Amino acid sequence: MPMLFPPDICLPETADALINCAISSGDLHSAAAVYELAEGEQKQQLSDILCKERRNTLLLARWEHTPAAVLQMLAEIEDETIRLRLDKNPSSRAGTLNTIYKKGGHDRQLISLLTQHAHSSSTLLNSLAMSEDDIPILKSIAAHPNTDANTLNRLEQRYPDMFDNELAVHAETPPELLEKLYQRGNCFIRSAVVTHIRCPQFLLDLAFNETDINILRHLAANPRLSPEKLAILAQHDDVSVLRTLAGNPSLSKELANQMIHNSTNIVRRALASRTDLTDENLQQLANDEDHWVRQRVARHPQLDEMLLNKLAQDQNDEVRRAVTRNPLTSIDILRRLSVDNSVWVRAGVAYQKNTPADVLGMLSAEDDVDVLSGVASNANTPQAILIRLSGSQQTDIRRGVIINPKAERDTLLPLLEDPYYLHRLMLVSNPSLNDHDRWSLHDDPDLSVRFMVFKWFTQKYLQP
Amino acid sequence: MKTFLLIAEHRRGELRPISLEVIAAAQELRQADDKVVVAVIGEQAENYVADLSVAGVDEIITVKTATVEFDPDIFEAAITSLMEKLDPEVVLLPHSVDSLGYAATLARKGNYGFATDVYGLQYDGDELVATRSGYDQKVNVELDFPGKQCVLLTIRPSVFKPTEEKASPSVSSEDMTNIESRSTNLEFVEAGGADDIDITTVDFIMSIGRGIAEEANVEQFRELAEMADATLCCSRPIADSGWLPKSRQVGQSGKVVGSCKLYVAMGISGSIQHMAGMKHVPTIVAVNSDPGASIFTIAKYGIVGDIFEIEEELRSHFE
Repeated sequence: MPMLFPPDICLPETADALINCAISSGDLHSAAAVYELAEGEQKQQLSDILCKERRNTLLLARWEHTPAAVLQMLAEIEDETIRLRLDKNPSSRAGTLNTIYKKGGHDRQLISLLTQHAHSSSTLLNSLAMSEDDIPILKSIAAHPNTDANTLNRLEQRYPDMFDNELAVHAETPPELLEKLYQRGNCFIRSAVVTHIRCPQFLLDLAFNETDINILRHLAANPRLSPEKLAILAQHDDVSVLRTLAGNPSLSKELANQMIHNSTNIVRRALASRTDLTDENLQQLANDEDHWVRQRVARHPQLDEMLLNKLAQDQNDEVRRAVTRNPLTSIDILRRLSVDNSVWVRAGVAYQKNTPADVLGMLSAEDDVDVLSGVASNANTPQAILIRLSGSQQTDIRRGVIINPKAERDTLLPLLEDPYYLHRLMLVSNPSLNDHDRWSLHDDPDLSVRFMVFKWFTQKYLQP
Repeated sequence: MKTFLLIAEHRRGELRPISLEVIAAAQELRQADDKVVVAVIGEQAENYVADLSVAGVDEIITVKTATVEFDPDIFEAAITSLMEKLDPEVVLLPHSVDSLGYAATLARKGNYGFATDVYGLQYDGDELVATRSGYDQKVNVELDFPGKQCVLLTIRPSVFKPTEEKASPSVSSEDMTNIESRSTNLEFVEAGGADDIDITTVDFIMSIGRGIAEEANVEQFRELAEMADATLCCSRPIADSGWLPKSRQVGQSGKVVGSCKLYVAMGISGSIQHMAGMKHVPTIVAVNSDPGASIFTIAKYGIVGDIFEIEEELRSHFE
């Protein structure tokens, strides 16, 4: 690769120096990174670099990391292919999309993409909803989260029945429209309506008399159901209705007590995930025959030491593993599980934030990648061990050190030359490193690393 | 008439599926009067004859050596000896950790044409053209081998569909027990890991990403995967957080799921690094709440929605 930057170029101490450095290199990605920082002549010089070759412009228009300011500049170029790419680019902002619409509004493909883009504004969507007749385009508008209630009403008035699927699940659909949808909809539409946060109470009462399991299953999850109705649903013989009911936040303690005896595993599993279980419930579920139930109990945020201790001796590896992941698990239990026969359990101890340094030291002598990655990423791991692990042959273990919030600068410095580009990329924003350290990556052979370095300094200089 | 020499692979007493794929690859090149010879090397090489007796194979040579398991020195010497005897125009090897141990040496010593990880084969006139990828799987590279009398290629797994049609090729044997290895195999150690599933060999994967939000939610997807008879895998952030074993990680930092036919990506945005491990899968189903997620650019079926709602619907279906 030709050298982009002069050797030993100094850390740019100002925004101006940073921009000049990017300009003098002629490097596309460095120029894109600093673009939003520049003004006047410098901005023009950067534009020249970014637009010098069409293939580079096309590349930037599609690249998901291209800064929004660069995308906005590219939207001004009279090139349909570039506009299509900008329209597909998730980083394009509302302003860029509006520009695209103004310049190429007659193009069906462009409009179709605009109606699907996450950043399309409600104003633009409303305008398209009134002017367009193309059904797939209107369907996209009906499904778009930025479409407001008025536009949804207008769409329904223009084409009754046509967009019921989209309207039934749209967060902005008003209650009156939900009622219409329920009255004329099939079981799937009705199911969606009874799940909707704006569903009127009387529709919930109406749905209660339905016989369709799909509707009842969705209804059973609704926390606005009255205790009486929840009690009636608890007698239902369909497993999926009972399972959903078991997860309903409004379920009373009495009903939970009753359902805990349900013979179906999946109902008890759903109950075991509830955070409002009593000590008796937990005690009972901790002895459940189904290991998925016991796993959920083992992770429970209100479990006492005695039950954690009991579950730490469970025959099932996954249950013991779940104990290692519970923040309430004591150091004594973690110490015991650190010598468990199962690697996956020991890895759980290695990742647990309460595991003490001496246990992590012992685990660092293992050779399993999951255990060592856990030790490498654990904030309690002593620095000497992190230094050793940073020299590991295994990529995952070195990455564990990089993501460790307590890894010190001296530990991380050798990793600036890590052979895996993603690791160098991650180091650019590491708070333990100083600006000189991260600037050492400015001429990295990988374009995404160079981009990230210039982007990091751009953000720094953009701050007031 | 051309002779194709193919090398079969076995491990722990079982023929590796890639062996039959290499036979399928040879069929892309052979003409009616060509000869396809499959050699299987090992102390009990004859045990694999029945499995290798499939349509498209003309001859099987069992090469008896002194070691049960793979040894690069012995394989190199045995294949060199076979090549001297058969004088093949093309030698096809599995692209595997085994062939990496001897293929390049063989090619260099014999001054053969050489390409690894080949997934396309054809003759352009008399010129053999092999296709492999370049620039991090971004482009297909077609290679020919001007002036080479023999070309040695390693074949990418899970590309060529093996035949199930049985046949009765002739079988001969060679005794090469006199070949000695330069290395001493003290012990065969099973690679340790949190679980024993090799995700590169499974055909149905359900994969989770950042969209699952917290570790407690992993459980329900594990359960769902079990219900669906799928293997639960993940993107890098999930494995880096220790929520699933590293052996379940798909992508550049993880593994390429070579045999996967159906990949259900739940809450995975689709970084370049992740897609490098699964974009080849014929049927990708993506579920993500962000319609702009990159994963939709390679998905055959896309659902813009909440992964927990979809999980709930799938669960109800299996219940």
